Amino acid sequence: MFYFYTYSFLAIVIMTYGAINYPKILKLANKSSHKSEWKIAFGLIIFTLVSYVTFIILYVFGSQLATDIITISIFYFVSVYVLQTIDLLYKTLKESFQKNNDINKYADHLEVMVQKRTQEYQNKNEEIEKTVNELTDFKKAMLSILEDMSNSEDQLKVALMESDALNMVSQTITWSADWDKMVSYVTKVIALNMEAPKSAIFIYNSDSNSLVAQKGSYGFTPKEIELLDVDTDESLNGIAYKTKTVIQTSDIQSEKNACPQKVHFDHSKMITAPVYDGKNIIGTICCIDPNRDIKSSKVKDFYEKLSNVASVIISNSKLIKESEEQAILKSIGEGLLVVDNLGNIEDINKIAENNFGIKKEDVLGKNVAGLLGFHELETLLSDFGATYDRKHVEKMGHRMECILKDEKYICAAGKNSFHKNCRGCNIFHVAAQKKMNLAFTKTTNFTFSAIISPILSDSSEVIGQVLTMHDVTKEVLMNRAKDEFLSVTSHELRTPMTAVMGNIKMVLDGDAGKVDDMMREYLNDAYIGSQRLLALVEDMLNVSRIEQGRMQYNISPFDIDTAIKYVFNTLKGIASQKNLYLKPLNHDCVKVVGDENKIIEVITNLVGNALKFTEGGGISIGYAIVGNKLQVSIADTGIGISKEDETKLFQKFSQVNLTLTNQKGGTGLGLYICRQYVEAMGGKIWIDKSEPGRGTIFAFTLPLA
Amino acid sequence: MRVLLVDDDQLMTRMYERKFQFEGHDIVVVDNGRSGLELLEDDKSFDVILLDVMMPEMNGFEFLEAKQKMENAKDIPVIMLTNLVGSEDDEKKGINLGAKEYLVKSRLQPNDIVEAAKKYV
Repeated sequence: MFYFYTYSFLAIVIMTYGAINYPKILKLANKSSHKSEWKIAFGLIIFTLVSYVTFIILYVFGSQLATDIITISIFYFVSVYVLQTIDLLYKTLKESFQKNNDINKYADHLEVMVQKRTQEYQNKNEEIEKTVNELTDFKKAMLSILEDMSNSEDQLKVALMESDALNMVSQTITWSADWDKMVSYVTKVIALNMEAPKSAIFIYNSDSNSLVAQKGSYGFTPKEIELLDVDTDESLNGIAYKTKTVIQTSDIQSEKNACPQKVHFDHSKMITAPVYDGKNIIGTICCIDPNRDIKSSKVKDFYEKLSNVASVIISNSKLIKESEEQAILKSIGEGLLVVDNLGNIEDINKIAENNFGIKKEDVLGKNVAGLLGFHELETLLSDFGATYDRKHVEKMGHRMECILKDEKYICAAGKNSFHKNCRGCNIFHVAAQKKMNLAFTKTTNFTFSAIISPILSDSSEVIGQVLTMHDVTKEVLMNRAKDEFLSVTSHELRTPMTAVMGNIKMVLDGDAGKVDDMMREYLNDAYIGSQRLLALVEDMLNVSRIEQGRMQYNISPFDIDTAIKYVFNTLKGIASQKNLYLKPLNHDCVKVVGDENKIIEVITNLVGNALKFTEGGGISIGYAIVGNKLQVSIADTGIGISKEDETKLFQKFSQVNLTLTNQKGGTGLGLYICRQYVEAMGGKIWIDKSEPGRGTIFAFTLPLA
Repeated sequence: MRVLLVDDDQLMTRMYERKFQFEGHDIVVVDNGRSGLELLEDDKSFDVILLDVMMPEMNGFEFLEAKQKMENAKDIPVIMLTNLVGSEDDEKKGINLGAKEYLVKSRLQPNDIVEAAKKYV
């Protein structure tokens, strides 16, 4: 009975399981390759059913053996079925696991895709955000424009001001850099724009560390402007200058430093801004007592703009001035060389560049001594510096002449040039001893005459020198030609005159036979005429040589008595002819220093003149030591000289009485030459005393030996 | 007195010839330095030489230099005569080369020249 129930139960379970699972297995089998399984399962069900039926029959008709065999076979099949089912389940499970894997992969792929998309969306989002921002900005801009439009009054004023400023710039240009006018215009425009009564420009002065109020500042009298200067360390303007920012009274605690008290105004209301020349700050521009509320930042901006425009104008104004100066320097027809107190070259114009054969960029900052090989000039230049005050300096016009010779400049200075105490400076050969630092490419001779003038600062200090060079090459060449002409002419004149005079003299001496009185008279006139002509030639030659500075003096000590004796011997014939006396007053054997021959010429001239203009009495010569000089006096008893004629006497071609000149003969050059000779030897010549009709005393001095 | 005059200007030489001859002196005239030297080669009997400075072929200084190198001739005294301008340097040069005197013709009359020459006899 037990077996029966057990088998029945097992068979029912297996069949139920098979029945339940059959569609599933069938479904699976259709999809997959496991087609055999469902047949096995189906067979299993059929077999279980058959064996169960057999069991029932056997059990009913009963045989123990049969029952046992069937039971064992049922167990066997059940075991097989169970194992197969397990296998099937495993396979099914495995399959489903693989499928799960695939799904995972797909899921991953999906995730990437999603991320991409997300990114894209984010980007899009950002773009949109931007657009939104832009729109916001636009909105803001629109709003600000709207706001600005609401401040249209200010805007209009700025625009007006800018056009005003442009106007100013153009006007400033036409003013050709008149600083005062520029200051007055700029300050006026600023004051009007700020609705202020006063406005001023301050320029920094490094010497006094102060800001100096400029002439022409609007609303101030010239006297007030003088009192307006402020210290850079203790003023609102100073702060604006130092911090390079726009400063207004409300910006600082201590308002009393805003402006000095000397000039009255309400300094609680003031605004000031830096002023630039290009990039360099040069001062400030300030506005005092503006009607506008300077506390508002808009006004500050507006003011800053104003000061910027002012800066542009100031720069332009300075630029115009500088370029004007440059243009002047360039267009001056003379060579210009500017040096500082140390003799370093600060500027040189084109003509000087050409004259020296140098280039500006090569010589700027270099010492002029090196440039010219000219060390004495350096000393002279620095001598001009410290010791002279304005009065002296203004009187000085120092003239020298330089000539390029053997690649060196040899400079000569006129008699009264250069340093007062520098007697030996008359002619100096500086370059001759010093080798030049710069090579001169110019090969042709260039001669210039130069004037060295000091450059004075406002406080009359000498801050440098300017050397003006005038090219005198042509003049020098012409002078040389003149000299040559004179020299040739005189030679050519002298020789025939010598022959004329020599031959007349021989005839007069009776070399050619007896000469009767009438012949003698005629020949005498011919002889005197020749003599005058020859004297004129000699005098002209001497004058020419004196003026060329080429007269040579053989200076040595000599006895004045010897010279006087020599002259008396030469002239005693003429004196005795006119029945005049020649009287030496001293015989003291005093020695003087000079060119003896030229002093003899001087004395001959003076005594000769005295003889010419004296008809009775005579001539006496005396001398006396006066200081460190010997004074020689020549006194006659002649016609005398009037006061007004005295001054003319030592000038060229200046005979006092032309009628007398023609009577007495003379070139009008004698006294001029005498003066040049005596002065060249360190003496003086003058008319000591003269009375018309009673006589004249001429005097000259010479240094004692 | 036997005088050698070296000068190219006939106006001057004729004048000095007359004066010296009138005074009873012997004077020989040549018109440049070279002729003067050639003459001196053969005849060294001159008491004094009057020498112009500017002459063709050989000037006074060159003549003087050469003459000073001649045996027997170097002791003959030389007086230089000129009418050149700016003669101070020339004067020094002449004296340095051995001339006794340096005279300017236009300042002296013929008789002064004779007197000057006489000093060296």
